[in-house]
Amino acid sequence: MSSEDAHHPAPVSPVERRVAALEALLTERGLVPEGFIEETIRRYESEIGPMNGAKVVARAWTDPGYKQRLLADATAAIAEFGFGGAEGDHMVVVENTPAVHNVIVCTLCSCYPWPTLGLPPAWYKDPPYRARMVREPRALLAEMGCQLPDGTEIRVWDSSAEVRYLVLPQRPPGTERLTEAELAALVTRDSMIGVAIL
Amino acid sequence: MVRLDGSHPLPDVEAHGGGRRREPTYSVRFDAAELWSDAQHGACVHVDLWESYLEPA
Repeated sequence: MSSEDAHHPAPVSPVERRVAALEALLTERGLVPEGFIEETIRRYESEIGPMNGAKVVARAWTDPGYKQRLLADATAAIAEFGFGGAEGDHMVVVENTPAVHNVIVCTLCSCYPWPTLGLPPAWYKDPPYRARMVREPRALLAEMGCQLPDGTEIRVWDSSAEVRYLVLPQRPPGTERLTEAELAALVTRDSMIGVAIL
Repeated sequence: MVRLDGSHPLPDVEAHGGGRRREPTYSVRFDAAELWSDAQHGACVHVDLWESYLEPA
């Protein structure tokens, strides 16, 4: 944006006006407490994010018993950290191996595991990602910088009902001496969606 | 079918004021070649579906 444009902010779009009117009505009628929406957005933008998922992944890498619990009942294992609630009530963790790469998508809208990954990135919500990840996952992953060996099986998980998925990435080589906290710092959001390898 | 995920309200009914009709949901695996004529090799798609979306096969 040029400095010239900064003096002329974009006009409010019809959808923004409609949302503002709905929010005003909900507040006026006492259906949503004052400030509730702003507070929810603030929490998910600044307090709850992929670092939660990274802690889960790092523990699974370092504690075989935890990994077993995580793959058997992800909702309960993630709750051991105190993470849970909306968009995380029914979790399934899918494990990457040298033979299998997992990736998550929501073809219907933008379903995403909020308590472990925060709010979804814009591209995750865009129709091209949602359409192409089921149609041509190998090509799309390569475009996103995730080159997989030809023999790797790709498993796409479409969270089109109530389950929310988290990918357990492969532990990077050469990290044997790192602590759980140091490992957590290596885990990226994209690796837990399955569009990157570490 | 790779997983049964318990019963959940069917949004298609609930969204039209029909109340909370619960149905089992399943994760169903499709080989990419079953879905697309020009499918890329070595890929599969798992779709999570309410029971009434499915037909016995």
